[in-house]
Amino acid sequence: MAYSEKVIDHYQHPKNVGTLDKSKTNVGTGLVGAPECGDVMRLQIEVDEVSGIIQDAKFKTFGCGSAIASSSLATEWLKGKTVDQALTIDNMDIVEELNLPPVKIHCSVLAEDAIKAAINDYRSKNGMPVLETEEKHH
Amino acid sequence: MNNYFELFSIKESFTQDAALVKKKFYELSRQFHPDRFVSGGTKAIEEAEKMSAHINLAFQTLKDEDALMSYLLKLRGVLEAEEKFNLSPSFLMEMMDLNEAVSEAEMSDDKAQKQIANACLQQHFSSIKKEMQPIIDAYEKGDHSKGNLLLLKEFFFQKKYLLRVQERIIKFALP
Repeated sequence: MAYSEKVIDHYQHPKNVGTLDKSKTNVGTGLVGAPECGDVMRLQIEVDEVSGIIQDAKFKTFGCGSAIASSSLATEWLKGKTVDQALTIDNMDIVEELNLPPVKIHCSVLAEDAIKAAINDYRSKNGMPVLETEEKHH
Repeated sequence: MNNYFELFSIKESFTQDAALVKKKFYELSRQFHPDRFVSGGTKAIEEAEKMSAHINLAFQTLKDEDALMSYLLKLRGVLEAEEKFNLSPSFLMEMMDLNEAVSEAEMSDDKAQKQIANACLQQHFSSIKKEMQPIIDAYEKGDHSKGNLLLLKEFFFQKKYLLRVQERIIKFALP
């Protein structure tokens, strides 16, 4: 199967690979897995406490090229957004941007789940109610 | 259509006798070979072709222990196709660490590190196997309780992560 140029670029030069200090209260960590293929993804956000803006985002993904590209793109999009804006990132936006084929849509779902999980971790650390995440079936 | 166990006249179980499965497969394949239905006309041939495809699919499933587990869990209504199943965060964390260990071994090209990663993987495999065995045995003895099947399902998904790590280790073990 041919990957799009954008997927290859993110795969070869992933943006924001790494780890943030998960013990900090302004860092949210999301750890998710894709049971069907055994991919595992960790995505973290660091929120500026004054402005509420995501100042840094890091990820580490073990999986196929599409999963790596999806999480790499997600971290790029997260930076500079408020937490509420980040919640509006939809997996289909990732599919569109990366030109993912239908069989790889689950990789973008995984990235969206990781964003939501990171945000929920941040929210619960800061005394905010955890948001219900809808189960997505594509 | 009959389920695979009925079709092959074998026990409904997570473990199968490979030789018996093969024997039944050959018998059925012969019995439903489309060539034998030529005199019956197009409709009979089509039916036989459909049956042959079903038999082939059944054989592919029954001879592979992971495919068999997936099939039987679906048959028992505890697993759906492409189901999103959330494993515990602690297990995912372990898989993250294991994958990281493999990456480190990969980059350093250090034989000892590679062996450690592989030993860790094998340990995971055997501990899953050890936990699954009593449930599989109980199933064979007629204990089809949903709780047990749900446990098996969890191990089934855990194993997928391990197989994925194994794939990585095999890949970089090649020259």
